[in-house]
Amino acid sequence: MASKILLKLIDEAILPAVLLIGSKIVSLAALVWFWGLPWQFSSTTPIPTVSFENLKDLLLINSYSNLFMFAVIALGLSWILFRAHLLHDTHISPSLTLKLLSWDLTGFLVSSFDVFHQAVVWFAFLWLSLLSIGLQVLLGVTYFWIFAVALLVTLFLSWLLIEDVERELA
Amino acid sequence: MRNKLHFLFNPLLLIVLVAIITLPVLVSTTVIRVDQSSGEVAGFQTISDQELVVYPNFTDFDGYVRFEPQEVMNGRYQDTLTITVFRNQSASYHQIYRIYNRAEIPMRVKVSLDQVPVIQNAYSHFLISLSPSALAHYETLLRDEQAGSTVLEVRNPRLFADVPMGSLGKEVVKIWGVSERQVTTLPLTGFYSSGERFYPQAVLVVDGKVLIPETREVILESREYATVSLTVVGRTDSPISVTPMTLSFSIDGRY
Repeated sequence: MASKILLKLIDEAILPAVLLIGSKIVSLAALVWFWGLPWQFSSTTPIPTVSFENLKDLLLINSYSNLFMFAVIALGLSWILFRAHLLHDTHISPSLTLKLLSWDLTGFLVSSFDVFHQAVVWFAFLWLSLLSIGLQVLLGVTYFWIFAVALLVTLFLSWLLIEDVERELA
Repeated sequence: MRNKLHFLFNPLLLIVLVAIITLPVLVSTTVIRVDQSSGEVAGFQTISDQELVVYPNFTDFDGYVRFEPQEVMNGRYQDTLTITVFRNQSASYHQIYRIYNRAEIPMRVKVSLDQVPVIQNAYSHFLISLSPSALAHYETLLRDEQAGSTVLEVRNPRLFADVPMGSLGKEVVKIWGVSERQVTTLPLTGFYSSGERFYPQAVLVVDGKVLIPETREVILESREYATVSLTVVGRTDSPISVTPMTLSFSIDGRY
């Protein structure tokens, strides 16, 4: 029988995967338009690519599009953590439950099964994005300060997640 | 049999999960790159000093110009140039450099200003132009042009084709297009008399401010060369008649 956990993780991984690629492409297009930098689209490579005339343009566009992409993933995980802290059905306050009922927003309540699978997936995406940004800094195609900001945010969100898990286990 | 399939199914799911998580990150890392045809690969440039050869003009301006060239590295030639500025006069250093393309394929070349000269009160403005050997560095206006003019008459408007801007005196002129003997521009802000030099995108610094930081890009076929010229206009109120001015710039080559 197929593992329920794996199936659930795959199910939860699709949205962040789409958001990650989508945010990278959208931010790329927006930044190129904003700065008016010359670029070329190539579909001859296995993955279609956008190429720039020089390293300086690449560094600028790649850095800020990485920042935007990371921000999207961080916001996604932040939302999961928000739900885990405040809307988790194991420890939500009765008053808040009543309010959600009156507003017909009980759909926001989340079970442990759902929230932890979501958290694991978004957590993985967050750390992989951070590692990717770090690698790109080493290659000289992303500004270091973006990695520094991403690292601080990642550590903070990781600490929040660990704290929520510990509270749950307690 | 069913147990064997069950045994395989979960590892497959795990592979799918890992792929869904890692592939988007990999794709987002590789979706942009530097154009390979420019000779750059994320930090590497392939033009050597055998291919981009720059000759400073040591002979024509001896005594007025001092060069401090650095070796061509990664398609870039840098020099710190010390030139003499004459009070209340325009000094033209024509063909101060020759740039040769010794590669077997065409090369694109441009000149960029690295640092603005410090002694800015010694000069009113200066200009660095780049042109292929077969073309002139500038055209001259065939008639007087009033402020507000948008159609400038020159003998060879092709010099301004594919160039977004030019310069007249101290003014940056945005170029719309060219036609026979005419260059269409945004309205001029000043009056220019017939014979005034009209440069297609040249480095222009006025009163210490960089108005145009780099020249147009010139395509040199194999074995062709381009020349760099420099014009500097001294101030009328400068306290000294002759002063050296040091400026630092780069000549960039790429395929």
